[in-house]
Amino acid sequence: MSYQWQEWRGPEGLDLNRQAESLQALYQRYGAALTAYACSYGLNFASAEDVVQQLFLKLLRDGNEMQAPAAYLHRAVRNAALNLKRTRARETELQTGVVWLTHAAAEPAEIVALQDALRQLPEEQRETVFLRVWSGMTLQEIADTTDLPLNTVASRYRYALEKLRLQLGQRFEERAGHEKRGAGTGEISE
Amino acid sequence: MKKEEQELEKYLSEFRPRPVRPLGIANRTERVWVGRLAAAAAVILSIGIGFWYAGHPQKHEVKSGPIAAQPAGQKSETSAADLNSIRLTKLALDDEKRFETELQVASRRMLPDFRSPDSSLKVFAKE
Repeated sequence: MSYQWQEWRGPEGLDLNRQAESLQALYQRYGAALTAYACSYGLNFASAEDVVQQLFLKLLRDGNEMQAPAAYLHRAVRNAALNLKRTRARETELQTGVVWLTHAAAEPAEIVALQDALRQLPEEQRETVFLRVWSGMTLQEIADTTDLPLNTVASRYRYALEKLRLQLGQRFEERAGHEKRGAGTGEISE
Repeated sequence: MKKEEQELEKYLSEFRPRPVRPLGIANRTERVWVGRLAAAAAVILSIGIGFWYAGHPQKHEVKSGPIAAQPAGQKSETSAADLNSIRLTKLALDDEKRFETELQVASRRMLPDFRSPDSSLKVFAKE
């Protein structure tokens, strides 16, 4: 990933305005995905939003150096979400119908099924799926930013997709089949 | 990547993370700017007032004291702030005449002026 934390600093030290603008840009790009990621650890949506916002405010206040923003932010959100989950164990246990993903055409049950499937993934696989699918990174970029071999990242992703496919099963097959049929009719009509 | 994996990835990417509220940093930076602007305005205002007072010192002295009775052009060399005992002692030793003048001028600033038509001393004298 080409985005470097060094761009956040002026030549003579911390430039708060510039850093705030950079943080805004990062938030616009990753904020929603990070919030969904926090939700996948059992937080309700408002708490997840708070976790992400507090993280960005802390970054602005401390001005910590960050070589790979996307990976760093996901790790930081995961740690904060787990900490909050521990301190608010009762609250997170009650979170069952929280929606943190949206879809233009899917039924709510399908969204909830996908969220449940994501929740059941091991942490490292879940992180890889979020970085790849909702933060738009390539597997090579994920490998670079997480200091892992590309093969490890690729296998984690493959395992994650396999588990998701097994979990979602019929729902995914139905939608994929429906789209295929739709594409097929489109070809015929042309 | 296998075709099934690509299809599943495409399926997943059709789902979007729920939109989030704007980052609170915007409000904080706006508040910081408003604060800085207010501080700058206060500094400019105080500097302006300072210059204004510095440019009109005679006007205020006329209002407050009997120095108004002093003839125009005869500017005092001293002020109340200059009347410290060390300086006066030195002046008395070096130049007695100037010392007397200085005291006389200073006394007009610091004591009631009996030459003024409605001064308290004149009023008492008439009574």
